[in-house]
Amino acid sequence: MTKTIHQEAKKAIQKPLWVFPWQYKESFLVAAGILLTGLALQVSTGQELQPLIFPYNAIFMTVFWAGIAGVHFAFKNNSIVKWLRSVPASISSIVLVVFLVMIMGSIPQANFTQGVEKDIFGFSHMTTSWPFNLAMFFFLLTLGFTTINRVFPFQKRNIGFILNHFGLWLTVVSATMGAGDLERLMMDLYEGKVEYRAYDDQGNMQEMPIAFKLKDFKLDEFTPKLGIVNNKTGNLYLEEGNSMRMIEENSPYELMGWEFEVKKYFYESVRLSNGRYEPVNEMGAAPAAKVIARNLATGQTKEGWVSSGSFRRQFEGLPLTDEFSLIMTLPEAKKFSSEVEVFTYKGEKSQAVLEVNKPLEVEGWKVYQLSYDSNRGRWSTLSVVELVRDPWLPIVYLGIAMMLLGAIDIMWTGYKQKNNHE
Amino acid sequence: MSNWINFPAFAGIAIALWLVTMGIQLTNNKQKDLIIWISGWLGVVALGAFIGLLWHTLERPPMRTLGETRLWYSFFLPVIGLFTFARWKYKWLLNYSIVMAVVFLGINYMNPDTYNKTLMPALQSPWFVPHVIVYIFSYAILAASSLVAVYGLYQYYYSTFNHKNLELANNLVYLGFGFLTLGLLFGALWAKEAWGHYWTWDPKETWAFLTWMAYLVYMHLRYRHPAAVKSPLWSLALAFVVLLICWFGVNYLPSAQQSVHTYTN
Ligand code: HEM
Repeated sequence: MTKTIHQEAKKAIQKPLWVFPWQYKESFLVAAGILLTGLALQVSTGQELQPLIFPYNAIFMTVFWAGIAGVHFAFKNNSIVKWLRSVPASISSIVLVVFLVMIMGSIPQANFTQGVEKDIFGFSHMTTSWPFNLAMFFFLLTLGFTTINRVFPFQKRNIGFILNHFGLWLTVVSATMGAGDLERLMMDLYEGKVEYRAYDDQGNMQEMPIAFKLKDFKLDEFTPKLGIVNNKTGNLYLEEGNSMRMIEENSPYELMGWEFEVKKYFYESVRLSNGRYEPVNEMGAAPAAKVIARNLATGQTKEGWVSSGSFRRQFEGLPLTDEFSLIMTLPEAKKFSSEVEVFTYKGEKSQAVLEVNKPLEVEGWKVYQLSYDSNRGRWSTLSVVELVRDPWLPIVYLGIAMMLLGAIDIMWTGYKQKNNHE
Repeated sequence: MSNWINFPAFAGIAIALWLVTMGIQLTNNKQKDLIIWISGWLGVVALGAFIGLLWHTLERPPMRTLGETRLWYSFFLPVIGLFTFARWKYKWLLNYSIVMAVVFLGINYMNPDTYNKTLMPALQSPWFVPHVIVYIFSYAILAASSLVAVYGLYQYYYSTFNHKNLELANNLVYLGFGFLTLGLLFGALWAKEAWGHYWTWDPKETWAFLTWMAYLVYMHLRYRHPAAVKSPLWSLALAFVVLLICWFGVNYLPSAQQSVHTYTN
């Protein structure tokens, strides 16, 4: 076995550079050339690449695929075509993509984080830079030639191979090409009002073929938690398992050398002038709890009310020592939803509930529950929804479906030692 | 009541049983293999029971915090070790996976998790459990495959390399890679439902993609050069470095401030 490796290695050493068949050296030199070309283009143009929009993206994709197929059938045995579908070319293209994506994954990206300065090489806006897009082109070229060589002539035993390789090609190409046609807009819905205007992330308003009337915004909350805060720094103490403890009546627990027990808890309450809290049912009523704290070392006890407050009510803590106080956090959202009436430009009317993870589909748009007025919490009369249109989604999903099946094939068949590769 | 209080008891039982699994190998007991199998699985069951109880008291899947994911690694690693032992009789891999699992349990003991029942609405989805389980399972298998690579490299440089190791690595990589693909794609389908788009090059997604690509390099090297030893082993060891960054490192990279997936505060 080791003998064959040595022979292969020897052959590689003896073969002068750039004489076919190209091996790893040539492949990596080509990849480096592509990287340098990309960098040169980026530095000289200084521009972000713009995604193609319909019909140019569709034309590009068709030409790309037809081009690969045409070249494959016309020059099947050309040395460069053979190289393009070889493992060395694939690995060099994978490594090039990995190299650039590693940079992307390590430094903040302008399209994500606000205030990122764009650099001259395009590393801070990788997905719209020349180096990245040329690298992807090389990657998809090798993947394309590899795939088509196994599609024709069709053989049953290549089905797994085709699902994996063509599935990936289709997913990546259609996702990239579809980016230009993707629309993401937001709409602010106020209770009782009809809204048909949406705005993009630049704030440009546009009229939509659908309108919504928010009938009711609903928000369920988790029970708030108790924690200990440093009076001077304002930092929460988070060192122990009980550090942030969800309120539960009559269930004592220990934290930081104290034992705490919640004696009474009201989800909606108001503070009376004598310092006690009473349950009420009105807008802005805040959660409050009566707590007994006992210092485990000294036996000293403290008793009092804590409240998270609300947009209308004052917050209240229970001082334990000069340094620390017990406090109640604002309740976290468990579930929020908007009950809406939907109108389409065709004059159709329907009812729907929008909820996180349960988008609504109308007129080719997917509508998502996005956010609300977090200051007012469950009394918010504003619901922000997002509208997304992605006409390329079915093709992307076709690619994803192929890859899912391909993954199952990989696990099922596993590695087969082949001895009939080129 | 917080379940984490019972953690040392359950973890202690699991560790004690796994010590039996490892200790019995040093003896000449005739029923050795059977005892390995039984004590190993009982340890898994003990930990599984703890996870089940935790799930029950939290009223949500225990998959949100780092401490909770470490529990799942400690659960799956010995499972993989036991299966590979049953199938191929690799004792060292079984022992490694147990040691790793014990280390994870130890980390959890040193850094107790805050008891936290809340789960943000975006995570309340039928995709949540399959996505996380498939990922964790895949990472655990791929970690095991990379251990094989490190062991193989040791053999290669300091003693004689056994080609069987590469076959084992391959079996693990194909299985782990398949799960990783499922994890990535489930994540994409879920993201579409929750955030409106299937892929946003979020740092966590980016590093998961890199991990996936790194294992692709290994698979293709192996396919093209079935007899080669050094290059596939090194590529597999390097892929593990990428996996580790994906898993631990992302939160510390400058890019992390923009991630939607770092739930720890
Ligand atoms: C979904 C991801 C991928 C999987 C699961 C995968 C899997 C495989 C497998 C299992 C083989 C061996 C084929 C066989 O046994 O007949 C193979 C071969 C190959 N793959 Fe991939 N691969 C993937 C992505 C890629 C990519 C991205 C490229 C190129 C950039 C590529 C290029 C190749 C090449 C050139 C071969 C050799 C084909 C031949 O000799 O006919 N693969 N791949």
